[in-house]
Amino acid sequence: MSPKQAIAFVKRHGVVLEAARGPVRSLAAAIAGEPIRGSWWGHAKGQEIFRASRAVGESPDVLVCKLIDGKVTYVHRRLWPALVKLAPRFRKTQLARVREEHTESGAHVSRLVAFPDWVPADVVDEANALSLADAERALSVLMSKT
Amino acid sequence: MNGVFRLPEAAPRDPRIDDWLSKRDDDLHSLAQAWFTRMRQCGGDVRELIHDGCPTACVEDAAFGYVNVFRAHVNVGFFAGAALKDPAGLLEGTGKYMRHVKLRPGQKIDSVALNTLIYAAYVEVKRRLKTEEAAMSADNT
Repeated sequence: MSPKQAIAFVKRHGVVLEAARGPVRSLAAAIAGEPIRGSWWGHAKGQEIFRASRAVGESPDVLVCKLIDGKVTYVHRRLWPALVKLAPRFRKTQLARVREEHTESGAHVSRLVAFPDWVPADVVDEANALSLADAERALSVLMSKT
Repeated sequence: MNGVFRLPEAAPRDPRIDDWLSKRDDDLHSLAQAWFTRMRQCGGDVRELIHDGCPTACVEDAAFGYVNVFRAHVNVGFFAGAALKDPAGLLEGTGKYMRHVKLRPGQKIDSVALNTLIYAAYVEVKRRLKTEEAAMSADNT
Protein backbone atom coordinates (compact mmCIF):
# COMPACT_ATOMS: atom_id res chain seq x y z
CA MET A 1 0.00 0.00 0.00
CA SER A 2 1.48 3.34 -1.04
CA PRO A 3 1.29 6.34 1.31
CA LYS A 4 -1.39 7.82 -0.94
CA GLN A 5 -3.38 4.63 -0.77
CA ALA A 6 -3.03 4.60 3.00
CA ILE A 7 -4.63 8.06 3.23
CA ALA A 8 -7.38 6.89 0.86
CA PHE A 9 -7.90 3.86 3.13
CA VAL A 10 -8.44 6.18 6.11
CA LYS A 11 -10.78 8.35 4.08
CA ARG A 12 -12.82 5.34 2.97
CA HIS A 13 -13.21 3.85 6.45
CA GLY A 14 -13.40 7.16 8.32
CA VAL A 15 -12.01 5.85 11.59
CA VAL A 16 -9.01 3.52 11.53
CA LEU A 17 -6.63 2.23 14.18
CA GLU A 18 -2.94 2.59 13.45
CA ALA A 19 -2.06 -0.95 14.44
CA ALA A 20 -4.06 -2.09 17.44
CA ARG A 21 -6.82 -4.63 17.23
CA GLY A 22 -10.20 -3.11 17.90
CA PRO A 23 -13.67 -2.37 16.68
CA VAL A 24 -12.52 -0.68 13.45
CA ARG A 25 -10.02 -1.54 10.70
CA SER A 26 -6.31 -1.43 11.45
CA LEU A 27 -4.00 0.18 8.90
CA ALA A 28 -1.08 -2.08 9.81
CA ALA A 29 -3.19 -5.21 9.52
CA ALA A 30 -4.59 -4.04 6.19
CA ILE A 31 -1.06 -3.59 4.83
CA ALA A 32 0.18 -6.85 6.30
CA GLY A 33 -2.86 -8.67 4.99
CA GLU A 34 -3.21 -10.41 8.31
CA PRO A 35 -3.60 -9.61 12.02
CA ILE A 36 -0.24 -8.65 13.50
CA ARG A 37 0.92 -10.18 16.76
CA GLY A 38 3.05 -7.85 18.83
CA SER A 39 4.83 -4.90 17.27
CA TRP A 40 4.56 -4.32 13.53
CA TRP A 41 8.18 -3.14 13.43
CA GLY A 42 9.36 -6.72 13.13
CA HIS A 43 6.83 -7.68 10.48
CA ALA A 44 8.02 -8.39 6.94
CA LYS A 45 6.03 -5.36 5.79
CA GLY A 46 7.18 -3.18 8.68
CA GLN A 47 8.86 -0.62 6.38
CA GLU A 48 5.72 -0.28 4.29
CA ILE A 49 3.62 0.14 7.43
CA PHE A 50 6.05 2.78 8.70
CA ARG A 51 5.87 4.79 5.48
CA ALA A 52 2.08 4.52 5.34
CA SER A 53 1.52 5.48 8.98
CA ARG A 54 3.91 8.41 8.66
CA ALA A 55 2.06 9.68 5.59
CA VAL A 56 -1.28 9.34 7.31
CA GLY A 57 0.04 11.04 10.43
CA GLU A 58 1.32 13.97 8.40
CA SER A 59 -1.83 14.38 6.32
CA PRO A 60 -3.74 17.59 7.11
CA ASP A 61 -6.93 15.64 6.49
CA VAL A 62 -6.34 13.11 9.24
CA LEU A 63 -6.66 13.57 12.98
CA VAL A 64 -4.31 11.37 14.95
CA CYS A 65 -5.68 10.82 18.42
CA LYS A 66 -6.25 8.11 21.01
CA LEU A 67 -9.96 7.79 20.51
CA ILE A 68 -10.36 4.04 20.83
CA ASP A 69 -9.11 2.34 23.99
CA GLY A 70 -6.18 4.75 24.28
CA LYS A 71 -4.71 3.42 21.02
CA VAL A 72 -3.48 5.54 18.11
CA THR A 73 -6.57 6.19 16.00
CA TYR A 74 -6.92 8.01 12.69
CA VAL A 75 -10.08 10.01 12.00
CA HIS A 76 -10.54 11.42 8.52
CA ARG A 77 -11.59 15.03 8.13
CA ARG A 78 -14.93 14.02 6.60
CA LEU A 79 -15.95 12.81 10.07
CA TRP A 80 -14.60 15.74 12.07
CA PRO A 81 -17.91 17.67 12.11
CA ALA A 82 -19.67 14.62 13.54
CA LEU A 83 -16.87 14.11 16.04
CA VAL A 84 -17.10 17.74 17.16
CA LYS A 85 -20.88 17.51 17.42
CA LEU A 86 -20.62 14.40 19.59
CA ALA A 87 -17.63 15.63 21.60
CA PRO A 88 -19.67 15.67 24.84
CA ARG A 89 -19.92 11.89 24.56
CA PHE A 90 -16.11 11.54 24.69
CA ARG A 91 -13.41 12.36 27.20
CA LYS A 92 -11.23 15.28 26.17
CA THR A 93 -8.16 13.04 26.24
CA GLN A 94 -9.76 10.91 23.53
CA LEU A 95 -10.11 13.94 21.28
CA ALA A 96 -6.70 15.52 21.77
CA ARG A 97 -4.57 15.61 18.62
CA VAL A 98 -1.33 13.64 18.88
CA ARG A 99 1.51 15.18 16.90
CA GLU A 100 4.77 13.39 16.35
CA GLU A 101 7.69 15.78 16.35
CA HIS A 102 11.44 15.52 16.07
CA THR A 103 13.51 17.48 18.54
CA GLU A 104 16.76 19.19 17.58
CA SER A 105 18.62 16.21 18.93
CA GLY A 106 16.67 13.98 16.57
CA ALA A 107 14.60 12.39 19.30
CA HIS A 108 11.02 11.54 18.56
CA VAL A 109 8.38 13.06 20.84
CA SER A 110 4.60 13.10 20.94
CA ARG A 111 2.89 16.40 21.62
CA LEU A 112 -0.79 16.81 22.41
CA VAL A 113 -3.00 19.55 21.06
CA ALA A 114 -6.03 19.78 23.30
CA PHE A 115 -9.54 19.53 21.94
CA PRO A 116 -10.98 21.78 20.54
CA ASP A 117 -7.82 23.81 19.81
CA TRP A 118 -7.06 21.77 16.70
CA VAL A 119 -10.54 22.06 15.20
CA PRO A 120 -10.65 24.36 12.14
CA ALA A 121 -13.35 27.04 12.10
CA ASP A 122 -15.08 25.60 9.03
CA VAL A 123 -15.43 22.27 10.80
CA VAL A 124 -17.05 24.02 13.76
CA ASP A 125 -19.52 25.62 11.34
CA GLU A 126 -20.26 22.26 9.76
CA ALA A 127 -20.73 20.71 13.20
CA ASN A 128 -23.15 23.45 14.19
CA ALA A 129 -25.21 22.76 11.09
CA LEU A 130 -25.33 19.03 11.81
CA SER A 131 -28.05 17.45 13.92
CA LEU A 132 -27.06 15.09 16.69
CA ALA A 133 -28.92 12.28 14.94
CA ASP A 134 -26.97 12.88 11.71
CA ALA A 135 -23.72 12.99 13.67
CA GLU A 136 -24.58 9.67 15.31
CA ARG A 137 -25.30 8.18 11.91
CA ALA A 138 -21.99 9.46 10.50
CA LEU A 139 -20.06 7.95 13.40
CA SER A 140 -22.18 4.83 13.70
CA VAL A 141 -19.16 2.60 13.26
CA LEU A 142 -17.77 4.11 16.42
CA MET A 143 -20.95 4.67 18.38
CA SER A 144 -21.85 1.02 18.38
CA LYS A 145 -18.47 -0.27 19.40
CA THR A 146 -16.64 2.06 21.75
CA MET B 1 -18.38 5.08 25.38
CA ASN B 2 -21.49 4.58 27.49
CA GLY B 3 -23.60 7.23 25.87
CA VAL B 4 -23.19 9.87 28.54
CA PHE B 5 -23.32 13.29 26.90
CA ARG B 6 -21.27 15.61 29.12
CA LEU B 7 -22.03 19.31 29.30
CA PRO B 8 -19.88 20.67 32.13
CA GLU B 9 -21.30 24.19 31.76
CA ALA B 10 -24.71 23.06 33.06
CA ALA B 11 -25.91 25.09 36.05
CA PRO B 12 -28.74 24.72 38.55
CA ARG B 13 -30.52 27.52 36.76
CA ASP B 14 -29.70 29.17 33.46
CA PRO B 15 -31.63 32.43 32.98
CA ARG B 16 -31.18 32.17 29.22
CA ILE B 17 -33.59 29.26 29.24
CA ASP B 18 -36.54 31.23 30.56
CA ASP B 19 -35.78 33.93 28.01
CA TRP B 20 -35.70 31.27 25.29
CA LEU B 21 -38.93 29.64 26.42
CA SER B 22 -40.81 32.90 26.67
CA LYS B 23 -39.37 34.68 23.66
CA ARG B 24 -42.67 34.16 21.82
CA ASP B 25 -46.12 33.96 23.28
CA ASP B 26 -47.41 31.13 21.12
CA ASP B 27 -48.60 27.55 21.45
CA LEU B 28 -45.28 26.09 20.41
CA HIS B 29 -43.32 27.89 23.09
CA SER B 30 -46.00 27.14 25.68
CA LEU B 31 -45.65 23.44 24.88
CA ALA B 32 -41.88 23.60 25.10
CA GLN B 33 -42.09 25.47 28.39
CA ALA B 34 -44.48 22.94 29.92
CA TRP B 35 -42.35 19.93 29.05
CA PHE B 36 -39.06 21.54 29.98
CA THR B 37 -40.57 22.39 33.35
CA ARG B 38 -41.33 18.69 33.74
CA MET B 39 -37.65 17.93 33.11
CA ARG B 40 -36.63 20.46 35.73
CA GLN B 41 -38.86 18.71 38.23
CA CYS B 42 -37.22 15.30 37.87
CA GLY B 43 -34.85 15.79 40.81
CA GLY B 44 -32.74 18.13 42.84
CA ASP B 45 -29.65 17.23 40.81
CA VAL B 46 -31.10 18.55 37.55
CA ARG B 47 -28.92 21.16 35.87
CA GLU B 48 -29.62 23.09 32.71
CA LEU B 49 -28.10 25.12 29.92
CA ILE B 50 -28.64 26.19 26.37
CA HIS B 51 -26.82 23.64 24.23
CA ASP B 52 -26.92 23.60 20.47
CA GLY B 53 -29.41 26.45 20.59
CA CYS B 54 -32.04 24.83 22.77
CA PRO B 55 -32.89 24.29 26.46
CA THR B 56 -31.18 21.15 27.71
CA ALA B 57 -31.66 19.35 31.02
CA CYS B 58 -28.87 17.40 32.68
CA VAL B 59 -28.32 15.14 35.66
CA GLU B 60 -25.33 16.96 37.10
CA ASP B 61 -23.36 17.49 33.86
CA ALA B 62 -24.88 14.63 31.86
CA ALA B 63 -27.60 15.65 29.43
CA PHE B 64 -30.83 13.67 29.50
CA GLY B 65 -33.38 15.83 27.68
CA TYR B 66 -34.03 18.90 25.62
CA VAL B 67 -36.85 20.79 24.00
CA ASN B 68 -36.69 22.53 20.67
CA VAL B 69 -39.24 24.56 18.74
CA PHE B 70 -39.63 24.22 14.98
CA ARG B 71 -42.01 25.97 12.60
CA ALA B 72 -44.98 23.69 13.27
CA HIS B 73 -43.91 21.36 16.04
CA VAL B 74 -41.96 20.95 19.24
CA ASN B 75 -39.42 18.22 19.84
CA VAL B 76 -38.98 16.77 23.30
CA GLY B 77 -35.69 14.92 22.94
CA PHE B 78 -33.73 12.40 24.95
CA PHE B 79 -29.97 11.88 24.84
CA ALA B 80 -30.26 8.22 25.83
CA GLY B 81 -33.64 7.80 24.18
CA ALA B 82 -32.76 4.57 22.41
CA ALA B 83 -32.55 2.83 25.79
CA LEU B 84 -36.03 3.91 26.92
CA LYS B 85 -39.05 1.65 26.99
CA ASP B 86 -41.76 3.24 24.90
CA PRO B 87 -44.95 1.20 25.04
CA ALA B 88 -47.00 4.14 23.74
CA GLY B 89 -44.78 4.38 20.65
CA LEU B 90 -44.07 8.09 21.02
CA LEU B 91 -40.37 8.07 20.24
CA GLU B 92 -38.97 8.86 16.82
CA GLY B 93 -35.43 8.60 15.50
CA THR B 94 -33.00 5.90 14.53
CA GLY B 95 -29.66 7.02 15.93
CA LYS B 96 -27.58 5.02 18.36
CA TYR B 97 -28.63 7.14 21.34
CA MET B 98 -30.92 10.03 20.48
CA ARG B 99 -34.71 9.84 20.27
CA HIS B 100 -37.40 12.52 20.29
CA VAL B 101 -41.14 12.97 20.62
CA LYS B 102 -42.85 15.36 18.22
CA LEU B 103 -45.65 17.51 19.62
CA ARG B 104 -47.98 19.62 17.51
CA PRO B 105 -50.30 22.26 18.94
CA GLY B 106 -53.90 21.12 18.86
CA GLN B 107 -52.92 17.48 18.65
CA LYS B 108 -53.73 15.20 21.58
CA ILE B 109 -50.69 14.46 23.73
CA ASP B 110 -50.33 11.25 25.72
CA SER B 111 -49.20 13.19 28.78
CA VAL B 112 -48.87 10.18 31.04
CA ALA B 113 -46.62 8.39 28.57
CA LEU B 114 -44.51 11.48 27.92
CA ASN B 115 -44.15 12.19 31.64
CA THR B 116 -43.03 8.61 32.10
CA LEU B 117 -40.49 8.93 29.29
CA ILE B 118 -39.03 12.11 30.75
CA TYR B 119 -38.59 10.59 34.17
CA ALA B 120 -37.23 7.37 32.67
CA ALA B 121 -34.72 9.42 30.66
CA TYR B 122 -33.57 11.11 33.86
CA VAL B 123 -33.26 7.78 35.69
CA GLU B 124 -31.43 6.16 32.78
CA VAL B 125 -28.75 8.87 32.65
CA LYS B 126 -28.41 8.75 36.43
CA ARG B 127 -27.89 5.00 36.18
CA ARG B 128 -25.20 5.48 33.52
CA LEU B 129 -23.40 7.99 35.69
CA LYS B 130 -23.38 5.52 38.57
CA THR B 131 -22.09 2.75 36.31
CA GLU B 132 -19.36 5.04 35.03
CA GLU B 133 -18.43 6.08 38.55
CA ALA B 134 -18.26 2.43 39.67
CA ALA B 135 -16.06 1.55 36.69
CA MET B 136 -13.70 4.43 37.48
CA SER B 137 -13.50 3.40 41.12
CA ALA B 138 -12.68 -0.14 40.05
CA ASP B 139 -9.96 1.16 37.72
CA ASN B 140 -8.41 3.15 40.55
CA THR B 141 -8.21 0.23 42.95
